[in-house]
Amino acid sequence: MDNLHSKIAEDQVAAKRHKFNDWLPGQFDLHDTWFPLAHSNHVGKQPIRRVVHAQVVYLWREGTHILAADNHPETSFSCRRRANAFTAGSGLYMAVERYGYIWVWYGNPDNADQALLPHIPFLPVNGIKIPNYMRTTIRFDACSILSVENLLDLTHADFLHGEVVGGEGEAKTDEVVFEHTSETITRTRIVTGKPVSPIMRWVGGVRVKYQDFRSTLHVHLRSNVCISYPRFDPGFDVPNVQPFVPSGPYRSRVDQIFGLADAPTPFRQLMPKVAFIVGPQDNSVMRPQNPRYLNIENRADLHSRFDAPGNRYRYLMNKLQERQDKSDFSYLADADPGGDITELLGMKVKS
Amino acid sequence: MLQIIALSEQVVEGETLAVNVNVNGQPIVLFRDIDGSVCALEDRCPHRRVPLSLGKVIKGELRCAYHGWTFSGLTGACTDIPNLSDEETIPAKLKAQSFTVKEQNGFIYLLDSDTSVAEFPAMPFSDQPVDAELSGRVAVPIGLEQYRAVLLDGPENLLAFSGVGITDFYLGGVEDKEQSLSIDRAADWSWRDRKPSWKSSDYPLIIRSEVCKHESSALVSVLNTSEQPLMEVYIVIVQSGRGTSNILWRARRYSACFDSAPLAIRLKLYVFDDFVKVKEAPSAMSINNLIVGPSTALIPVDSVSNPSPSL
Repeated sequence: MDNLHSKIAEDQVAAKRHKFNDWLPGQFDLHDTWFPLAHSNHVGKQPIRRVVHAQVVYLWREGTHILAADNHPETSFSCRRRANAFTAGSGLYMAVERYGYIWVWYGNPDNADQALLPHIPFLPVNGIKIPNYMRTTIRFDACSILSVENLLDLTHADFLHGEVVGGEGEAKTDEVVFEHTSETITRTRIVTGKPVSPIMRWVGGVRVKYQDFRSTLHVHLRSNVCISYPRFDPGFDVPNVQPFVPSGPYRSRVDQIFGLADAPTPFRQLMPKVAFIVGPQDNSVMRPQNPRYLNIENRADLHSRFDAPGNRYRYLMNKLQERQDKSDFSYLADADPGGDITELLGMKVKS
Repeated sequence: MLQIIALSEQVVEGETLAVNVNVNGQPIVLFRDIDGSVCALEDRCPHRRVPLSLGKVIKGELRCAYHGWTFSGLTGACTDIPNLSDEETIPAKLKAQSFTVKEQNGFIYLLDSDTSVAEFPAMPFSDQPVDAELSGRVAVPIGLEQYRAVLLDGPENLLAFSGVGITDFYLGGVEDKEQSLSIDRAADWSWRDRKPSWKSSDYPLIIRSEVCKHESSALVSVLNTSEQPLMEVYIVIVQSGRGTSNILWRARRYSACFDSAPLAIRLKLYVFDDFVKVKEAPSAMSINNLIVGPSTALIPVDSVSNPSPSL
């Protein structure tokens, strides 16, 4: 009997390990969530086409209404895609405008709830007065999940982005902490005595040699919406939203918005443009990385302590997908995706 | 197992070289350590699978481009993870797979763990006085076995000797030597290859294609009718991704070449240093239309690498 129990225990450990090794980030398809499919200023009378997972969505405005459909309005009836379950056969998705984005519900329309929209405390709720120069659109040449992992472990910035936002050199201290719910994970990295990044020095005017850095990243697991609040001291806060909208298992689209109203000129205008330098740098490693996660491997990835948030992210994603594979799309009691995250981000609140 | 995977000059100090060769499904990256010796690691960071060939060589070790994990070329052990404190140690299990490589004869050889080689095979070149040497590497859209076959059935599709026109007139049949299959064809001093002629003639040169039976290498020689080598090119075919091949080659031109060549050809040989050219873009039409001949005697080699499309 002891042998049987130990065998069962071994199998359970092996099963867990097997699950851990079976990290197939391109195969996640989590439902019942809002995806920010477009910058609101990109959506006008003419329909634009977006893709989320394998679903095609056309977005346009009719008067004050936002419309999101699975077919272009001018497509002839005989050429239309069959209406899918996400539109309950109507051909129209639930859509809402908030924080400067057009959000589309991806899932059972009966479960659509605006209370599940993420809270983004540094952007105006109605999206008005977000300057165009604070908006960018960049591509990631990997699935959304790998792109989120890229953000969760920021140690890569010193190597991939060293000449822009990193600082190739050892910091005095580097601490990573995280917390999570069943629907979100929040990572905070606290670094002291780090060489000042070039963008801060030459554009931001920070002239000292070293600075401290605190960056909180809040990730919504189902939608890959990443809300980031980096703080540089001396320096500025650089809050931004990076929603990694999956365009299949190979690519992601990011419509990024910065909240730099408090930063000085020209940093405020130029910082968003850094995405066009940083993005290709990330892609230089992620593009060849992505295909290596398309199939199950017999080797588990190795980790350092900086990977603790990333490892927890993998675990949470697998748990979420497991539930959904059993048709459980509910939000558990510990989850409050729309809850106020001002304090969680460590955001300075104006009095 | 002993396999050539690169030319020595391809592995430049301070740089990485991704060779599209897989061992047990793992692609390989080459670089030189601090002493200049060639090292080979799997081209895959064990942390997050990014190709190590995208990284930097720092003091003879290889640092991943993504998160800066650094690996010893000799053992594959991870020697540095940036931003760890001085008190933190790196567990021994954090390592990349390393491979044994040796540099000899101007090539980089990959050895498996069961191979201990006291002597490397000598290069099959003639020992005559050498006038000039060349080397190079091309990638061709032909698989390894087809390349071997075309070397026997129509080498003019794959390479060219300056001032030599290769005909398709076989001189005899396939000679089954101990290590290779060999076939001769007639050739002439000419600016271009000879088209098939309805009448035979005496040609002053012989093109000899010798394809190794058990390895993916070959020697193609230009000989005079006394069978004295005038020019030789040693070719190594490395199976690469998506049915393509990497061709590594070294060539020699011997002093006797000038004694044999007509004056106009000698001038050309003097002016142009590239006395041999291994083609990067062989004509697909020509190869497709090539009539099968001596290659029917070939047996496929066991290739070490079965690379997937480049990962």
